Amino acid sequence: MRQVTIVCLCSVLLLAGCWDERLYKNLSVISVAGFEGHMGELVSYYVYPNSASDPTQFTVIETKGVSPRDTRNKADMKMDQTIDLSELTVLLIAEETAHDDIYPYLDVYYRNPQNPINSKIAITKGSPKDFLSIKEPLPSDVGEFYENFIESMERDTIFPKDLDLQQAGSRLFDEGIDLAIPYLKKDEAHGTPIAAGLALFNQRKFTGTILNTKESLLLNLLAKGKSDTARMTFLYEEDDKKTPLTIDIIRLKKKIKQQGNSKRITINVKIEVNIDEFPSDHLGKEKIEYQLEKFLSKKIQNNMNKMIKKCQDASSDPIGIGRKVRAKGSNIWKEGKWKDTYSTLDIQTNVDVKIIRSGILK
Amino acid sequence: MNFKLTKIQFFLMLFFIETGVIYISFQQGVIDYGGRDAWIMFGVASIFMYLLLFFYEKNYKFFRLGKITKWIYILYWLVVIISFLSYMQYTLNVWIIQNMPPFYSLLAIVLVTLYISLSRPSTTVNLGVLIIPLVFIFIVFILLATHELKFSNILPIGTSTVPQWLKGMHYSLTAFIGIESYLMLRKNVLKDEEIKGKPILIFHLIVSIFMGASVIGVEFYFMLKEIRLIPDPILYILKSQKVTFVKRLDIFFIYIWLAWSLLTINLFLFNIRIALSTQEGKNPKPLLFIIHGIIMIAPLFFIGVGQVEFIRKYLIYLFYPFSIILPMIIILFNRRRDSKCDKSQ
Repeated sequence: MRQVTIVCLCSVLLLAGCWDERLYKNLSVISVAGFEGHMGELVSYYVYPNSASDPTQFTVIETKGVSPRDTRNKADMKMDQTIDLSELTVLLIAEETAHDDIYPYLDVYYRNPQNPINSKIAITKGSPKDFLSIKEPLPSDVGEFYENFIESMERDTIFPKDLDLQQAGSRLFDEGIDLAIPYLKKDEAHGTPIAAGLALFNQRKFTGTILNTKESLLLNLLAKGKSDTARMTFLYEEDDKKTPLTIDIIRLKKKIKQQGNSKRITINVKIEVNIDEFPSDHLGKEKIEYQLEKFLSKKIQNNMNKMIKKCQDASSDPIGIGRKVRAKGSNIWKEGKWKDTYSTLDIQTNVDVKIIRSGILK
Repeated sequence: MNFKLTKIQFFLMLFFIETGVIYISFQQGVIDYGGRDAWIMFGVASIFMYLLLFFYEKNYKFFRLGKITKWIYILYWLVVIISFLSYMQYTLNVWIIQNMPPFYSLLAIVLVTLYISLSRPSTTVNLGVLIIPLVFIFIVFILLATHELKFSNILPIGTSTVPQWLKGMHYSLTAFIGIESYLMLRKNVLKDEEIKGKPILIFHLIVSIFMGASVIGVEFYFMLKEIRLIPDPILYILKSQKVTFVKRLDIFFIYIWLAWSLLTINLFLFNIRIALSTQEGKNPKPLLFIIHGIIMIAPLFFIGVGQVEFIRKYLIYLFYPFSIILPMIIILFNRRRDSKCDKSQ
């Protein structure tokens, strides 16, 4: 009993206060941040809500500094509260900044335990500031809006699923796969963002090459498979008449094959689809079904080959062919020199589409 | 000190001695030094550890500490406890309590260990039961990262060089620091409990799979070049998980790890208590107070990044003399002495 009393009495001393308490009233919780410029002359933007009652109203703080941490320190000087990034949902990086090695810009996010590493990341065409001054009324606070926006594209397989700061950071250290980060353009009329595709990286630097949304979808299909939905629309020609044909991918299987140690890589893709739109109808007929499957296989194969060629020309390997080649222990994998080999590979896809559903119409 | 252990209590204590403090970080050393084949190195190292346990089981009766060897071991365990407390304090300072003076957090930790040390042996023996559910919760949340694993990270197999193998296996032994506690506790296991053979194998398999899975899991999650920068990979994995009910999962789990580590510290202190209790007619309590004073003050001098890195790199070198060489010498010496006594009788 005496021991318990002593321990209890000593514990009381620990209740005197907490050195590490962080009260909400002293913090400006930032939900979106962005930066542009280069190390040494960096401009950062931090968005925080004006009031707790209406989070859709927000203010953008702009600061200049030598590094991301320096700009944040300077932003603190402009406010009556301390900037807090623990609830950061999206980080926007200007296209021109991404041409540099982006790791030094992200180091502060990985190093500080209070910074979340599951925030989304996107590259903006032009200054991130433009993306933070949205004229249209938003349904939620700007951070939530951007997070929902990116996640919606992820569900449509246009942006890579679950790509956050941590996953991006991991790829910066992997020679066998490159980053492909969501690329945003701005709708000039409304000031709202538009998903423009994926920005291709070569190791830690943006290559300047952008895949459009159609190519992005194909890339994601080859890299990580289908997310919730993956739709493609084509114009199908029959008897000099053009008919829209939209497919919804139900299942996709892919196998990357390398014959021996040759430079020829074949990607076999089997796709099962549902027909979402086809006004010509009569899908129950075997001949039509066969023709459509042939058309779709050829079209998707050509598009995939073009997309891969574009990636090779940019020396970017977002599919992760390098990982496969390395895992196989192939002779063509050479640590530190993979990219030289990758650009010269003969990569061909072999697509086989099967229509397995036609909706509630034939 | 009079106490008896059942088979389950004995193995549970060993499990918590070997895991605990090092669980969040030892993978980094193994993978960084071992390269892509680190998980195989860990497997091979655990086979060696099984042989060591086998040796312990055959000869534990001969492991009797003399006056000098007792103090050598007490000193060794003190070094381990101080190193572990320094690392715990550093981790707390980095991850959660940046502003709290280390003295107070260490005081809170040491007061708990002092209370347990002054309590009956059954308190330390049964404390592990409380931690088991927390360990399960810990593991379940780490499994949230399963969808982010890149299984090709461990391929191709067989790329690590001979020096990498030696270093990887060397750092794999970190997972078995404290294994010599087997010799301290084994004599107190109830006589009718079967330990030899299957029970040891099952226990060692559980520890090896538990620790080995964390090595291979970390390899699946991080790139080889990336892991060099991440000293506590398990906490980092937890930090990168997104759940709806808490913003920072890592904070939640650091406290679980803290409780888990406190148990490990107490089990090392328990070894010291057993060693001290061999002094007949002497009350070990004053010495326990002095020891707690030491473990309260000493870690405060080793909580910088440089010192913690030194501990991470060099503590494992103590494993060879204190878990392998010294037990062998003591056992061989006592065996020889016993056989001489038998002959003379």
